[in-house]
Amino acid sequence: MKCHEAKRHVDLFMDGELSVPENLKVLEHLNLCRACASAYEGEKALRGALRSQLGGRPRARRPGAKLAGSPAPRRGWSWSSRRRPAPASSRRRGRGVLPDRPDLRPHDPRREARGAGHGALEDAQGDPLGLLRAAPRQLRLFLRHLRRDVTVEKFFKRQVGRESCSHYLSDLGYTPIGASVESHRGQPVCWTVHQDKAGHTITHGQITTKIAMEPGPLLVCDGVERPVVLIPADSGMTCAFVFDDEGEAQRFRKAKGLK
Amino acid sequence: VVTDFAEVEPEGETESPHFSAEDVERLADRLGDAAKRALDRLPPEHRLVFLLSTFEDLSYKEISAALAVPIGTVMSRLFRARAVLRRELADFARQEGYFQEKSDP
Repeated sequence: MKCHEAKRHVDLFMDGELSVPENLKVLEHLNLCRACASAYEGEKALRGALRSQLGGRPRARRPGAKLAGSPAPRRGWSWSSRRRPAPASSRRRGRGVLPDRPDLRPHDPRREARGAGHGALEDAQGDPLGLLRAAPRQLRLFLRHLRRDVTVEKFFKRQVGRESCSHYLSDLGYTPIGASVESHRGQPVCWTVHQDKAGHTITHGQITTKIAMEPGPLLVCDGVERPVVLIPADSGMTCAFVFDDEGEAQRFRKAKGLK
Repeated sequence: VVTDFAEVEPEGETESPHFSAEDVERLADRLGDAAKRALDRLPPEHRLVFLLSTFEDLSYKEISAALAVPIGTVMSRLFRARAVLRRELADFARQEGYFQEKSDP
């Protein structure tokens, strides 16, 4: 997506009116283009100021507000092999059930000269999910947006919840708090992170059933394996739900009548 | 996944004025009056769509149903309302000496 396209889409993006692929393209562009990200931040601030100045109805409490009192940060996530280690060459290409979280950007000396991070992103209010430090830039940006406006709420409400198995989670008291777009074998996979009031998180994504059925890596966080529940979806896809611990996975299986 | 970063390089000046978050923060207390004046000058149908979208959080589809107009009409009214509002607020900010027309690097 080019700048002029992003600018054309940004109002629709902020209004939550884009389709999922368009939404992801805009997010990706905002993540990579400082000029557009700055314009977006300005527009967001302007809308917020107008709402407060013109006496708009107060918005519902943002999900991000819940993050302030959340548990201490975890060190980060990694995807690794449980049953058989993948060859190093495959790992570099991101093969396996779930991909590594690589920095997909090509080498850019200007970026390195500017510093590795987004500044404000790294200064985000703690790292309650333990995701920011190790997460790809898309997720960090998404979480930052989440804290400050309702764009993400609208996105989830209108798109993600309807088009994926994420609706399995809402009646269990989980609300969406972030998302990450990963490339797996050249295809974008949208992982969404949901959290309940107790701070338990579930990460959900749709992967092809063929990949889901392969023996191989499971999610590991700080050296601890994460339980995964797989539910077949339509069109050769399978939903993967990744849990904090086995207790949460069992609660989910029980609530959904799964074995 | 974007791998060609030339695609995302800035492409010259922006066509419409845009505020930085810092500009908005500095002007926040005074934007309300300027915005009210700008809203008053909007055609009523544009103003209504803007208010329904901005303050009532209605989707385009919901506004379309509420006003019995096509979604395309909702979008064009909303975009025009926002363009006028941005222009008026930019004029106001310039008068206040806070806002400088920005060009992409």
